[in-house]
Amino acid sequence: MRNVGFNADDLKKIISSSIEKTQKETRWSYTINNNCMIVKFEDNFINLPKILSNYNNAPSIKSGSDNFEYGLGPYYVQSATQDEILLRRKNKTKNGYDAVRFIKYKGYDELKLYNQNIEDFNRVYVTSVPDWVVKEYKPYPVQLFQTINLIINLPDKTTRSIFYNCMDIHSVRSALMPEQKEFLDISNFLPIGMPGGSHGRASQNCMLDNTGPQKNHGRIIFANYRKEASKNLKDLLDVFSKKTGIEIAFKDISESELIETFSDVPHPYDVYIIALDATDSTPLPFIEPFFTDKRLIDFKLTDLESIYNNLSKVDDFDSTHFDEINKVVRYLQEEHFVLPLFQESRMFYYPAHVKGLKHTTDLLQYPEVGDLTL
Amino acid sequence: MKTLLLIAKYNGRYILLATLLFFLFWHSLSTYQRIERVHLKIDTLFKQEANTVEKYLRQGDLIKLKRVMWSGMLNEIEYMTLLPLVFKDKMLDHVIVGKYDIDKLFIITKKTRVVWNGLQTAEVKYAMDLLKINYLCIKDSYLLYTFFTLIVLITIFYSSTGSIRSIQHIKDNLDLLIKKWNDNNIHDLQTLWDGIRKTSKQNRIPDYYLRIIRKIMESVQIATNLEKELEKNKAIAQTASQVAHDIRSPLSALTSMTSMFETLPEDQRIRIRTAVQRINDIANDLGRKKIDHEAEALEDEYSVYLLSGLIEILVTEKRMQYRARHELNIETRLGTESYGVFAKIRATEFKRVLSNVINNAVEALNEKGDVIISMERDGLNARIVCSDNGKGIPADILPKLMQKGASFGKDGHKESGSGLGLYHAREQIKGFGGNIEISSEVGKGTDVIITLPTYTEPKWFMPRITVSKEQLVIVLDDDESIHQVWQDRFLEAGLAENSIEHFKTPEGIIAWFKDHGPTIRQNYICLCDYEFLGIEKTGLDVIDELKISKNAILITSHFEEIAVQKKCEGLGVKLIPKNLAGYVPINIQPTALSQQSAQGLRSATTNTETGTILRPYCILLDDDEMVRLTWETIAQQKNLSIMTFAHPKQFYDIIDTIDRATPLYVDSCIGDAIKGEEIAKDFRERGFSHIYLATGFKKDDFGEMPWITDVVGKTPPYLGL
Repeated sequence: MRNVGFNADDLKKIISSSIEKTQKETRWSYTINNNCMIVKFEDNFINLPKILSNYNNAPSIKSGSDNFEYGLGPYYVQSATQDEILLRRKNKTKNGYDAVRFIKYKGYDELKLYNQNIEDFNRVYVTSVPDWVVKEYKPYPVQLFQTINLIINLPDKTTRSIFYNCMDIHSVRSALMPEQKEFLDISNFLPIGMPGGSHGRASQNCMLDNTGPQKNHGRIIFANYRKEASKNLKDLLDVFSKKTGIEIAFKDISESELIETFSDVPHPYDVYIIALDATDSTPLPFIEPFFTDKRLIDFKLTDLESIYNNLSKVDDFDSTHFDEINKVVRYLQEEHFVLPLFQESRMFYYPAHVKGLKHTTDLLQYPEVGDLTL
Repeated sequence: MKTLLLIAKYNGRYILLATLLFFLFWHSLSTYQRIERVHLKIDTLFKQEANTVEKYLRQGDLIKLKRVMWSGMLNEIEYMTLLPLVFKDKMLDHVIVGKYDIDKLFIITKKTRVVWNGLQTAEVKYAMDLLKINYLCIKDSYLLYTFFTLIVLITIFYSSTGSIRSIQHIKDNLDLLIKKWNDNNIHDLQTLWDGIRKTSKQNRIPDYYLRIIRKIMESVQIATNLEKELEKNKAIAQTASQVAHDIRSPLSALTSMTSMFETLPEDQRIRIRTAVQRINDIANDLGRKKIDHEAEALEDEYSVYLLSGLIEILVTEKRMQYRARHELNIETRLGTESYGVFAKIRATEFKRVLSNVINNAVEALNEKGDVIISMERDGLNARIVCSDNGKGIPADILPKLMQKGASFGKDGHKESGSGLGLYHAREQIKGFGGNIEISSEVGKGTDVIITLPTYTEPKWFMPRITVSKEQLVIVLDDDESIHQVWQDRFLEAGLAENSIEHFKTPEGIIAWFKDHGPTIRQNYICLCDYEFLGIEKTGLDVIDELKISKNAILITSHFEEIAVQKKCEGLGVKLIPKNLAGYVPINIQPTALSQQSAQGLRSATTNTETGTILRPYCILLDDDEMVRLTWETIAQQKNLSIMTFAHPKQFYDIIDTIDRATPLYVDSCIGDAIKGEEIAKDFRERGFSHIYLATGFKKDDFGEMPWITDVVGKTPPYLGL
């Protein structure tokens, strides 16, 4: 593959060759104007990004900042298997990481983490970071655009209200992250730093009466994918059950299992803790999981559908759009579907020999491997 | 180009320093301006973007806020922090962009305010790396830097041209004048000065330089005069030294002959003796004009000195000092006993002490009288006696004289001292390991006796001449009178007249050796002068050329010169001071001695070719040179022939030629851990019948020794004869 002289004709050849090899029946068309190729697919050709990423001149999208680009940026995919992905830098550097190897990691107790000559531990849970890394690496505090929320997928608003108002936020997050002492409080499930997000805690008013929750709902199931927090959460829910009289069944499942259930209606699980984060610089990803087919809750938010649909078509958000987002957020909280617990704030660690750590320019709040210099 | 080179040579470093200072000043200014420019840009940016910042703070849009900040991240800025002052609930405590970990050593921070509608919404702090800013300044403006630095350099060079040319003019003129001076075209200072003034007017040389030149010229004139004076003095000193040298040889002859005038009437003898002394004093005084700085410096150090030499010089000084007193006689009586007496002393101090002693003696004489300084060997000590025939010192005063502050007989004298002289003299002599005693008789005179421990003679010194009757004595000296001295001395010692050969020039002896060298083999000694009139070659050169160092003895008045001593040591040649030629002991052996014996080792060998059996009066085996010398001296006085050996090996070399009836005197400890009593067994077995153990130990200290005739002391057995 050539490193230089890549043009629209080359791209056309790659695409047509790829289609020929993998999905012959795909219908597509293109126009080339001034070395710019516009491709239209009439059929879904989902393999294209994967194919393109395998080239050392794999395309990426420039962001508003010179120092950041979407996609794989300076890397391309050299190989990808179920257990490992190897990225290779398009243009070698003298003082940077030219290859990045992603290793499949199942959980905090997996031994693989300790004996694979791994340097970057910033993709694993804070509690799983080895002690020697904490001791020897350079710490780098990060406040992520990620909020941890309790999703209350119950049809009965009274029961939702009990969960929302009487579930002690401090207790829940302590049970979930026992080693973390300080949490960044948020008043809604939008992170601070994103329009609509703000400091504070969700307003709670726990008023229990003798009527109790609707009995016809049956037993409520709490789904947990954080195995290490299982016991703490069980204990917490036991206390909560005694306090509120709501019978709660506890279920440990994997993260992927939980995500798969989101396409089932009704969901098999009623209450669970989940992280919401943005992969874009707009707050849309935070409300999106409440409207798509794979939803976090069983209920269709009919009144808000039109708002979401409009917002999903907007490229550049302005204050009006932020107001719309806030309206949706406010609704979900007022209906007690989402109880915001905290904004993810953690320590990242970088090897001591890494130089020139920079505060990144865009969505990411931490330096990426590609930006590091040795 | 020449001017440029001169500027570079004389002003180069100052110009570079000035340029460097200019560069630093300009660079500092540039750096400061750059920092200020950055601040102005940041200030302007946040003034322009104040509404945007306020909007994003209100919305809580971190991303967009960061984008605004990034737009202000100039190349000079390392990181920037924004501290929200409004809408704090919607934003992080601080927003930061830029580098995360930086070395804060050269970091400077500045801040600016973000104000919207009169309300400060945020504060922005940013940090800059001074090193980076300096680097950027140079990188961005290096062409400008180079250009201006060159301009500065050229300006300074150009401004220096005038002054350098003026200096060059002066230098050229001075060079010309110096050349003229060197060429002896200008001898007169005034003419030279007039020439310079004329030149300076033509070239407009400032008066200040002229004054300097004038001063330099005066200094040069003084230096030239001094140099001429020095040369003159040097020539005088050399002439004086040469005259002294020339006088000494006939003087030695004259001195040795004075003993023959005993038949003359006393007044004539005294007149002759006084005349000889006077000539001797003149020679010494002239000789001292040639200053040997090295020897002079050594006088303050402890060193080994020939006492007779020091005494002679001092007495000469004293005679010169008191030459106005015609009826005062100061003289030395240094016989053969005084020859070769060395002591380890500080010469300056010793002469001071002896000078004081002589002064005291002179003072005791009033106007008329004799002061006699004599020296003799007293066992291991030298005994120097200063005698006067003055008024003497009462017996009750004598014990107090050496006390601090005591004095006697100085009442009427202006020069009367505090009495510290004798006290100090005694302290000084004690410091040399010796002593001072005074004996006096009222009306007859006073004797001051200085005792000093003697010291082994230096390697270069010849303690005595030992020669056999069969050996040839060759004398090389350009002075007829010194030939006469040696002739008389050897004849007096018993050598046949035909055993002495005389040469006056080096060429003569060299030619003679060519003819006779092979026939005389080693059976001769050569007494060689050091300095020859009008000939560059020295006696040592002749010895070296003829390869006769084993048989040669240097006779010179330059014996105190270190260079001569070292050269003698290097060649293995012994030395006799010329003025002591009349005193050196001469020992004539009945048969031939080896050359080693002639050199003073006193180990005898027989003439095996003739098969002669030797029958000396006695034989001494002792490693102590002093003991051997004492035995030999007394034997000579008694006109006895003895043989002495320092080591048994030397004796074994000739043992077969010795009559077995000869008495053997053997020391108990002969050196190299050899026991005399043990080796004597072998002598007895070889047939010697009279073997004595000459030792300091008592007879009872030894066991039964039937081979030993007797245990005796170290006194020569013939002392009482």
